[in-house]
Amino acid sequence: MALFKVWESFLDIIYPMDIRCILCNETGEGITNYGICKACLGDLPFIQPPYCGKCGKTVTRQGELCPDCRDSNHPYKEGLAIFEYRDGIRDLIHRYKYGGEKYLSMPMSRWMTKGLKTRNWSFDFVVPVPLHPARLRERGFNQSQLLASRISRDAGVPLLDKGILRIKNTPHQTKLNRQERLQNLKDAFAVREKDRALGTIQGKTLLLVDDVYTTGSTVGKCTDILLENGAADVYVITLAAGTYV
Amino acid sequence: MGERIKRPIIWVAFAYIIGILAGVLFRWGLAYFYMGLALLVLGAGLAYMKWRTLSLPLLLILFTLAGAFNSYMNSIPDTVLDDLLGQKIIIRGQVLELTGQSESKQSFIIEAHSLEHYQKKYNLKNRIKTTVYSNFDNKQDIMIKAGDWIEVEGELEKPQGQRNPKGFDYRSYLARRKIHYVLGVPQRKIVSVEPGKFPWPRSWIVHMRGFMADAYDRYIGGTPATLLKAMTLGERWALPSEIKDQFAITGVAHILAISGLHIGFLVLMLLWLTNKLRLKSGMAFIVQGIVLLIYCAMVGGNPSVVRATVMAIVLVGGRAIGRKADSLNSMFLAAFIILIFKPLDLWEVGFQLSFGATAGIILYSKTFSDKFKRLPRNIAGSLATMASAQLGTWPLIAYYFNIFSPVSFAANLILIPIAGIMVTSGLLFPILVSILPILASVMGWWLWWICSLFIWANKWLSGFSWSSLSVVSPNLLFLTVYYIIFFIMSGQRPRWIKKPACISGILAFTLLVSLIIAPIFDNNFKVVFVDVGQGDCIYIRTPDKKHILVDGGGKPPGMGEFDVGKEVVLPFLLKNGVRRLDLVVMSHGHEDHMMGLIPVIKDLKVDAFLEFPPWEPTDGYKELKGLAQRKGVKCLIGKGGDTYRIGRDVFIDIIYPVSDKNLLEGLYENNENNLSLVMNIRYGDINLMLTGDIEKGVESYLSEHWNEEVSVLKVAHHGSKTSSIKEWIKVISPKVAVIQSGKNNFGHPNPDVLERLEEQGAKIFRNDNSGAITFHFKEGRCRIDTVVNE
Repeated sequence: MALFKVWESFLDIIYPMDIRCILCNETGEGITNYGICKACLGDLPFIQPPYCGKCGKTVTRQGELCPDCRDSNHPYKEGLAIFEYRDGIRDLIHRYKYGGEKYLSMPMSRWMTKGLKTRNWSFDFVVPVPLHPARLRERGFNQSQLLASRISRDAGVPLLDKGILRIKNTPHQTKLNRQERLQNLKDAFAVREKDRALGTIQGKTLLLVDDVYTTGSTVGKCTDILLENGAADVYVITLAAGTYV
Repeated sequence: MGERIKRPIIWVAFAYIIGILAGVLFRWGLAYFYMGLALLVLGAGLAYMKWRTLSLPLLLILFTLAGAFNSYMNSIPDTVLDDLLGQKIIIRGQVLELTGQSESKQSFIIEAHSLEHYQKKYNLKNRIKTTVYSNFDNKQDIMIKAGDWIEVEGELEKPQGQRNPKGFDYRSYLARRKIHYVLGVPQRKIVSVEPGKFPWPRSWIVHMRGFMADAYDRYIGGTPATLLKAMTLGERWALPSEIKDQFAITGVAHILAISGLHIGFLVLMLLWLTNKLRLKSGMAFIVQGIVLLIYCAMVGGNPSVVRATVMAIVLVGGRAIGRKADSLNSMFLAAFIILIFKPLDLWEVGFQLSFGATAGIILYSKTFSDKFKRLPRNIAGSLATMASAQLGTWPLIAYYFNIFSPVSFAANLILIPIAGIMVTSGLLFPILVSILPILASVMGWWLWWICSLFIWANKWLSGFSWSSLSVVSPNLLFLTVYYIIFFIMSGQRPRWIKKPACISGILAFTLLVSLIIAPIFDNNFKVVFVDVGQGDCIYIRTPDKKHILVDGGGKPPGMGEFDVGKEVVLPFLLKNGVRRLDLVVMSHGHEDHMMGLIPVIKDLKVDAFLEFPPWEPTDGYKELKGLAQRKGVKCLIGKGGDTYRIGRDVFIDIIYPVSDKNLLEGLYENNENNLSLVMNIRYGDINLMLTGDIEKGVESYLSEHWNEEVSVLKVAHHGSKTSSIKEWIKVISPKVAVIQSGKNNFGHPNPDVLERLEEQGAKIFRNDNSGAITFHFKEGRCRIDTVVNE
């Protein structure tokens, strides 16, 4: 751990993190650890109460479910999204996933950890939504895994890195409707043989981490496979929730 | 320190740089260093005991001391071989790299392993810059390559140091490359050349270079291949000098120095490649890093390459580990790393230009691109990059090269995209050659066209009369103030500077005032006997700032490629603030007096030209005269009895050639030297006698017609034995005699002449011993400065 600290402070010298706002790229006061300036922070679409009691998206009245959750019965216990998927956040996620700007996982996971504190959840493991190895090679890294590992470190809860495996390389979800998405994801996930034999998640509560929540099909399928393998409960945290149109 | 420091590396690098400056400028001894270190350790210990922390100021002092120590250690001159200077020696060693090639000579650096002197053999390890001169009777091509073992016999010398005020110091330039001796070798004295190899990995790198150069030569050939070698391998020396000059004029010489532009293209290629290969980020970084390092080693670690490589590695490394590179921070990191290994690189022009351009782009490209918002995005981007790089470099370019190129904006805009194509395809070409040899000739043909187009476009752009202007060097105060303002007016200024515009205004105003006031106190009568090697050149400045140049040195055409006027006289004038000459005098029509005046009249504003026209004009003279007439310079013919008044209180009395044609014909003796203008330049009771190249006969005639003693005599004809007769010296009995001679085969100055002058009580100054000699006359006092004080 001490060695890690030394390495981190060495990196801090080579890569100072307190210089520019990650959104507007201007220098400013009080920007730390790839932070954001006051002006940009004000413009971010934080999800404020009232939010859907199930998935955490914005709704009109507290205690009400969103139309999406009313139609379908999500298997997870409760979900939390920090932002609405639009504006600056949309750009940030895009730069993060496709522009190779991995450092953005730092502010993102910070927001997520902070959001987590507003809920009274307790869980035993942090589990990222997996990426198929082929997709991983294409992108170079798993965006959810990076977020999950940071959340795990910040929250002090162990990370179950390969808690779920993606065994089918499915096409991108973005162009599909809800029904197609579910079909698309059929038999896409599995749990490691080792974990099944050891019963790693038997009776445990898990926190599932993903970057964007749209219809909830991905996290739903992941939850299914976790519950099938004996998990007691699954919470879901995502950076942003998009409205499916 | 109330606030946390955001970029500690900048502070550390600054402290270290200040240390380097202190180490060289004040020549701190080691004793001071150890005293400082002891104090520091003591202080650090106390501080740690008290606050449990090593405070920043202590850290900064530590780095300042480290800088001072490092630069001090690096500037100790090597004197191992000083005993052998001027002696014929045989050295055997390995050729490290080639540095130059022309019609008549070839130069390279030898790492000498053994040395032979009078049958005695010594082992050593010393870098020696060797130049092989081919003579005309025995001209044959010897191919010398890096890695070869070579044995040569020649005369060992120290590199020439600074010769003129603000002139180029070749000795320091070589010393920064760990070379302290030069060896001149006639071609027939090459004892042996054997092919050799470097130890791994250098052998491999040399092999790769050779492979690339070979591909260019075989499939492209000609000047385009040479240009590509310069642009991708850094072999600039092989380029014809006229092309190099054209690049300097158009302000795109930076394309020839491998730097950010080239490394940038390489990084883009690598990112694309590792992405296509689907490499994981860690692996991708390793591949990118290794390729960058190999390339850096391949093209030789110039400061600009190392700077770009360090910044590129930090950039791609950030992508791999999930961090974001901050370019300003990376820039200072690169500077710090370079200066740890080579602290004296701070004085390298390439270092300063590279960091000036980078700082400009980092600090100002956004400001400019905001200004160009209405243009299409990529054009606005390139324009902003160019403008900001210019902002960071123009004072340095003016200072070192005395050039300001208005055309550079257009030239960069047109040429950089072509250069991009050339660099990327140039780097890929050798790979293509090895995979698909069939395509090589087609690609080679295409590259040849691109390169030719590039050379042609550059030549065209350099051809306008307004393409570049000769400018005087800004002084150091100007540079300092400029770069302070440059820094604090940018968005990256330290936050404790609250009112940048206000501070900048005050600084600029102070500078302006000092630039106006300083010349008022600089009001002496100044005479500089410029060191132009073998030849005459005298610069005179009157107290009221009139500028006179008498002769400009030079060589007859075909006697070596070195252009004294362009390389010595013009830089001397421009670096010392002279852009306009009130009067240029040609003493007579010989090349060692007038060839150097051609670039002066071409590039500077000259009001009047004074001469006595030669009776047998040379081609060089005709060129000079034609040029003067074309440029509308007022041409005056001087003859005995004329007096010119220059400014308020300086007079030129012409005492020869006499106007009596018959008398002159008698004195002429079929020798142009005897038509030299002899002038007595008067300022108060100071007489300055300039005699050109007059010989015995004229001197004897003048001895009977002149009867005033002089303060300073320019000894006739470089101290030749055919001049300076006893009676003439006796008549003028100079207090100081100056001999303008350099390395020559005529035996100038003649020992008898020196004796005669000393007998008359003259103190002798010689350009070959002292470099330039400067006289400052003020209120009856005279101060004499020499550039060389050995």
